[in-house]
Amino acid sequence: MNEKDKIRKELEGLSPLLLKMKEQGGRPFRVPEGYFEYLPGEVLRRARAEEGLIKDHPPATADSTGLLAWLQGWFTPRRAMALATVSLLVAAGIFLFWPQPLQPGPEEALAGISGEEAKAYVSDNIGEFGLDLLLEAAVVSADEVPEMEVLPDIGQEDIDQYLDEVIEEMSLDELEELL
Amino acid sequence: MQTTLAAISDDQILALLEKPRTYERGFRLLMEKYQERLYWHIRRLVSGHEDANDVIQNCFLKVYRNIHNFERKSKLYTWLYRIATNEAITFLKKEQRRSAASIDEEESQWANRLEADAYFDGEEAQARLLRALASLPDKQRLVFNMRYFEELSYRDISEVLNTSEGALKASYHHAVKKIEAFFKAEL
Repeated sequence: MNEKDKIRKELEGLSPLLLKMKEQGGRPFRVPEGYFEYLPGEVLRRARAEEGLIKDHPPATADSTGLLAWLQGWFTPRRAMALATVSLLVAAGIFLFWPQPLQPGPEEALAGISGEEAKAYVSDNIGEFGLDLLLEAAVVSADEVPEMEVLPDIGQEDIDQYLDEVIEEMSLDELEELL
Repeated sequence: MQTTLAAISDDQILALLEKPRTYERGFRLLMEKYQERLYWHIRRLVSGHEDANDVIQNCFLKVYRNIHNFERKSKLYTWLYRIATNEAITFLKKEQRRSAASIDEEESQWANRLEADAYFDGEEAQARLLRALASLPDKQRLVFNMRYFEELSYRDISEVLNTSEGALKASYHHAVKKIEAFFKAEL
């Protein structure tokens, strides 16, 4: 008994109704015309296209694949965020704590200028100096006096006497003009 | 054409597939010999020509890439049936996940697809049979299709589905009884 006969006999015992339907009915579906002539060519075309893609993009070497996988491992979203945060903190640390070049102080800045040049500058730009600065400059220590070209030590009495003599020599008009 | 293909043995096709120079010729012969049987097997499982066309193309692409893995421990056509069945089941699972439909809804959707299928021209009785099939669990539907329509032996079905012949017989008998009950309920 072949398989078809076995199936028929089995179905006859199980459901005569289904056996009848099987013997009556053909295939309820159909396919577009020429479908089975077209199918092998279409599958081969897709298979060749896939092979072409593989050949156009040769597989990466083991070394480059390993490097790529390692890099990809680093650039998972969580790791990338952590990496970016650490980079930002390192950059801020470098900016804040890197030793800055020292700015020269005023004395160092003026070290290369001779006394003559300084005097000439002050004399030419006397109008640019404020009163406070001039007064401050006038207050000098006793040690600095000999180095300065000022009047010899004069007492208060001498000054008063000097002023009386000047006043006596002045005319009335000159006095009025001063006051 | 059919006579010529029937005369070509699986061994001859496999011999052609072993050499790169004759690989495409062998593959074309393999397709021409088995494509119709596999197509109708898939078509009954997925319903609708467009879906069946997608599934069978994917199936043969897998065969094209993996024929060198065929170890000749089983018949060539049971190996091909296994690939076709797996592809169809994968497709159905994707569809089920996509629609997230209940069994009743699925049966109703299947019936709607059948009505909308431009390539269905069966009679009312055949449409009802297909509707009854849609109500079966996947495994029972598979076994019923292979036995009732494809007329495969239990041994061959066992190779395809990797299930014992006894379990397959029980599955088939249950399926037949359920379909008969479906018809009687409609009368």
